Amino acid sequence: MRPVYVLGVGMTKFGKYIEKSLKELSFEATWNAIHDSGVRPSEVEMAFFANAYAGLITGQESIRGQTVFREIGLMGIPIFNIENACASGSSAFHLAHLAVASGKVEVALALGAEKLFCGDLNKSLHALSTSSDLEIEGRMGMLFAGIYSMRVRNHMERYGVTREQLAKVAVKNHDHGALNPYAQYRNRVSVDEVLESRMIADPITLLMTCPMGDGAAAVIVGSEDVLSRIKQPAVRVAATVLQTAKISTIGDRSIVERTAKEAYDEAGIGPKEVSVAEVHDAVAPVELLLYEQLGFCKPGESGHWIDEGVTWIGGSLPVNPSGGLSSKGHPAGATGLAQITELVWHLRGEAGERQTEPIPKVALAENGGGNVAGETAAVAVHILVRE
Amino acid sequence: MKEWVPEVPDTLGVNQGEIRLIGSECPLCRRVYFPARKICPDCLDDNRPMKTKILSDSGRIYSFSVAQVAPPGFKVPHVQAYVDLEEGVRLFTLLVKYGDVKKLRAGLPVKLVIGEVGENDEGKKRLNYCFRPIFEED
Repeated sequence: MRPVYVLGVGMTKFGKYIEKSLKELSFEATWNAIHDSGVRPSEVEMAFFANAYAGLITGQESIRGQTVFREIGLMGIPIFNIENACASGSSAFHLAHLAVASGKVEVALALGAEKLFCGDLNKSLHALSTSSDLEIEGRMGMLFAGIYSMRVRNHMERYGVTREQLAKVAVKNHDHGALNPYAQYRNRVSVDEVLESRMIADPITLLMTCPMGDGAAAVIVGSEDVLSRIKQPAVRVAATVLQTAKISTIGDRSIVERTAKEAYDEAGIGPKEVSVAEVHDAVAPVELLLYEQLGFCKPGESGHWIDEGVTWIGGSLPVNPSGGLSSKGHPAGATGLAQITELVWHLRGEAGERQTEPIPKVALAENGGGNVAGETAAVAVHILVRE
Repeated sequence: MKEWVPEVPDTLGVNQGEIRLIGSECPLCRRVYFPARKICPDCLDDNRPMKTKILSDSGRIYSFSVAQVAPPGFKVPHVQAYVDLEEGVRLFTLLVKYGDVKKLRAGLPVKLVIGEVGENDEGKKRLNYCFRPIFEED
């Protein structure tokens, strides 16, 4: 396998776009990425299209990618349709990387797009609920917010994490989102506002949850040869790992821990070397568990981390400088690629008002999707290094 | 008793006249799975079929959640839990007859409850399983 570099990134602002189609969102993100990279559009040899719910939202169940790339104008190349619930974007990135790493192509594109707002809330909620095993957990009455609430509650009981500390994660991510022109929510919130917002699944309140959203993000990867011809700085994909839930018994390591360990081994980099991260805060408090599962801090330390400002922009390890899912928004298929886009901007020093300083060298993304047997169905961890 | 089907496939069986949770045990590593698996995902040996295992009808709450929203067809509050059984299984379930939600906590003992959720097209009862907490004063 040869080294692979991120050549270009692009995205749309995340938000509610009743009037825009999946094709229009995809068009904007892809052409942004092409222009950002400086590669000629005809150099893209293979494309992966990540989307989770179009089959249920618009009815376009099959050949989703071919329909959006028709609009984008890139045709006559292999196009693959990738679905892994909320980890679809990461899965597409992983495959685009493989296509270049294997030597099969010089330039590959991963595009993720999602439209969840369709004017029928029940339809959107139904679509989201299909990211579980409908025959088993679906009939058992599994609710995603409840699963997150159980994980967080368990952590509170074990380590004494407080409700204020949970709320601070939402405050931080809203603070970051306020600085991000691509974020769905640009407003700041206070700890009291978070705690006093509507209870969803104790201790998760409304302002801790991510909004429903529309949007698209695209990432172009390529070989060292192509990189040497363009003007962008070298951001190398040091690791990209996609893992799947195992049928778990008591005492098993979490899927995030397993995936992260593989990624650190692949990169030859430890968690202490990471200087900026984007993680899957579908509900903000889960971010605390992720600090520990990703090895950023020891078990039980995450509450102190948020109190001490470690993960705020300006802290020693900013997490979710984009605002994360809870503020930037979470158009499922686009999320994993928007994480990569944000991190590449930080590594290049192009993140504007929310730039992490000093300009980081090592960045980590963690993206999860779906639920099977009580565990996240698919988790991806990527590590990017500026050379 | 009228004929019945489990609402969640392959989760319920009869043991000495009682409806109980059934799982499967790997003959090699002895791990127990619920719902039952055809193949042990650790040993991956399809020559050694998994054994049906009647599971305990009591366990302890590992974690729980009181949600003010519920999936279609379920009531609010939606109280879900992970319950640990002595066989080493951690299962997802809903809690019923919990009384005051403020009294719920991790570690509480719970007992299996079989409930009826309707009838299928053939007139058979559809049965699901839940757990109810056992408080000290019970």
